Amino acid sequence: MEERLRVGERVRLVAAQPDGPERLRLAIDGSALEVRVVASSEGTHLVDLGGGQESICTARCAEGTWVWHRGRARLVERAPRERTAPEPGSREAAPAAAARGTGLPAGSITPPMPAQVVAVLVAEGQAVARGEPLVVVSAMKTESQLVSPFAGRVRSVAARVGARVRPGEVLVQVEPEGGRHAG
Amino acid sequence: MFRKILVANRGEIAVRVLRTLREMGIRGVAVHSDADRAAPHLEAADEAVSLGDPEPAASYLDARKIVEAARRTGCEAIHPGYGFLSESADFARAVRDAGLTFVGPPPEAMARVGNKVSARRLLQGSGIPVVPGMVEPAPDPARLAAAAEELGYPVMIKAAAGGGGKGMRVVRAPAELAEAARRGASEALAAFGDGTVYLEKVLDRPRHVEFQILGDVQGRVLHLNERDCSVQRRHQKILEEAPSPALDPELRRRMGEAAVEVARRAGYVNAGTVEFLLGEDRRFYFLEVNARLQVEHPITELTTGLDLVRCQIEIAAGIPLALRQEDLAPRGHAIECRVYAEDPARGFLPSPGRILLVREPRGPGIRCDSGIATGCEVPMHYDPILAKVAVHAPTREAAIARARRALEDFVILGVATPIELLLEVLASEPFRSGRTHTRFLEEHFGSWQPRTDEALERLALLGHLLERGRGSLRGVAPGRAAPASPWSRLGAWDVAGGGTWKRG
Repeated sequence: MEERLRVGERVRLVAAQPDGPERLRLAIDGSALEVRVVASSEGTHLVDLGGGQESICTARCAEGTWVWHRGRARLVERAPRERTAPEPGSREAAPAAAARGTGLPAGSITPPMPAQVVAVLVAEGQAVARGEPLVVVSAMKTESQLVSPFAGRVRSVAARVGARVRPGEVLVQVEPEGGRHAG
Repeated sequence: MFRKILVANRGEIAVRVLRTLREMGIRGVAVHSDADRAAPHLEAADEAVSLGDPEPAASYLDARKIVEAARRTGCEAIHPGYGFLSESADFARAVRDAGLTFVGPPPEAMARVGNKVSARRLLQGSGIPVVPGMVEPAPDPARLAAAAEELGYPVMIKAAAGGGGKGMRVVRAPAELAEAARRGASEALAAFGDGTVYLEKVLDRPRHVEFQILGDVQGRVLHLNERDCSVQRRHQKILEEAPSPALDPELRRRMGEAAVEVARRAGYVNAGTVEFLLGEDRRFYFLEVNARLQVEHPITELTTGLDLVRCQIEIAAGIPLALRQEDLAPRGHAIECRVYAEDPARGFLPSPGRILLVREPRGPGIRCDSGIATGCEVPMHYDPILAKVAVHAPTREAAIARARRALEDFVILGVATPIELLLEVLASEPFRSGRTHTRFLEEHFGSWQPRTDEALERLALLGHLLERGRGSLRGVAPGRAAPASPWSRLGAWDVAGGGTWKRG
C-alpha cells in the first residue's frame, strides 16, 4: 500500500514490503531499495541501506514522525496537502508555514507559535506592500514581525494589542491586489 | 556554612546549582511557576515552592514571592542563577533586608557595574579603553538621533539593565533608529523590567572576549582567564570557547589585569564577568560587566578544574579565596554549544512545544548541562535554552572533534534546535582556523538552511514506516532489539493481534 509522505520540500509515494527475515523492500517514487532492519524497538532503529549500519531515532507527533540521525532531524508528514510554499527562510515563510496545513486561504496572517500581540501596524482598508510588517508578536521574550506575503489590501484586522494568540488564529487578512490569489 | 539555599531560577541553571548544593551537603529549595509544575529542575531539589502564574513578572521576577518562599522554607541564602533577578540590585537589597544572604555581589557593587552606562563611567581615569558610546542613556528619540550622528553609523541600541541580546539592535541608517529604539526598549522592559536604552558604536569584526573574575570579602580579586564568545547571532552567544584562539599569555595577562582592575574599582565581591571587545589589531575595549554567573561558565570550569557555584557559595559564606593567580593558567581547550529551542531555518524563531525524545551525549570530556527530559513541555514564557553541551580536550582540534561527536549523538526530537547549524559551524574552515569574530555567523552562515540530503530523507522515510509499524511490516523480525531495550533478552519475537507475543 502506497503512502504519500512529505519530507523536506518534496512529497513522495512510499511503500514497504517485507522481503525475508530482517529484510524490507522500500520503494520511494517507484525506485526500490533493499533495506536490512538490524534491530528495531520503540524510538530506536538500526538499519542498513547498503552503506553500513545507521542508527536512527524516531518519535511520533500529530503530523507524522520526527526522525533523527547524527545530529539532524527531519519531519516526515503524512497525507500532506498540496500548497505553494514561499522560499524557506524568507520573511513570509514563518507565518505562511503556519497557515499551511490549516486550510486557511493565502493572505491569512497567523502567528507561527503561541505568542502575544505587541503591536498592530495596519488598519482595515490599508494598502500594503509585499514584505510589509503588519503585526508584531512576542514569544519567549523575542519580538517577531509578521509581514504581508504579497502586495494587497488589508481586508480585516482581528489582532488586539495584549491578546494571546495561537497558530491558526487569523490576526490580519490581506487580499491580493486585483483580488486574485497570488504567491 | 549555609544549611539551606533557595535557587531563584529554572531550567538547566537551576539543575546545575542544585547539584553543587547537594555535593556540599546544603539542602536545595527550588521554585517553579505553574508552567513548570512538572519541570526537571524540581527533581534536583529537596523541596519545591510554587510561585503560581507562569508570567515571569508574576513568578520568577517577583522578588517579594521569592524572598517569602525562602523565608517560609527556612533558607539562609538565595542563589539567583542567571537572567531573571540575578542582576537586580533591588532584589539583592530585598534579600539582604530580609536577613538572608544573596549569593552574588553586594547591591552597591551590582549597581555600580550592572548598569552599562554607569560601569563605563567607573573606568574614567583608569587607562582602560572603553567602546565609544553614550555616557548617559536617553529615552528621548531626538537625543538618541543626535548621539548616533556623533558616533557615526552603524550604531547599536543596547539595554542599560541587562544583556543576552535582549533589547539589542544594530541600526545602519538614521531612518531605522526610532523604530529600533522602540522595539529594543520594549524587549528590555519585558526581559529586565527596565526599558532604558543607550547607544554604542559598532566596531568592525571584533572578537568578544570576556574574563571570569572572583572577588572575596577581603577584597582579593582574581581572574580565571578568558572565554571567547564571538560566535553570536543577533548578539546572542551560541558557541563559546576557552582559551581564546586570539590570546597569547602576554595579552591574557594584560586583559586579565584590566578585568581585575575593573572589579576592584567597583568593590566587586563574588563571581562576575568583565567583557571586552578585541580588535584584529590586538587592542581591547571594555564593554560591560555581568554581575552574575554566566551561561557559558562551564568552559571556565573545565579549563581550571574549579566549581564556580561552589566558589560563589564559599565567598558568600565569608570564606576568603585560597587560590593563587599563578596557579590558574588554562589547561586544555573547551568548547560549549548552546542548544536552544529555536529554528535556524526560520530566522531562529522560538520553537516551544513538547520534547518527544531526548538522549544526551556521553563520554570522556563531555559535559551536558540540561533542564529537559523526554516528555517535558518547553513553555513559551521563558528563554528557550534547553541544554549546553560543553567538551574538554587537550587541544583545540581535539575539542572540535569531540564537540562534533557530542552534538551528533545528542538526540532531541519535538522542538527545533540549531544542532545541525552548529555541526556545520564546527566543521567549517574559518572556525577550524580560529578566525572567529562577532559577525562570523552572519558572514558565513547568514541565510543558512538545512541541506537537502537524499540519503537522510530515505532514512527518515524508513524511520517513519518502522515507527508506525505498518501492518505490512509485521513480518519483519528485528533479529535483535536495539541496544538498551527491555526486549533484548527475548530473542526474535512477533507481536500478534491482541497484544500477546510469541517466539518467532
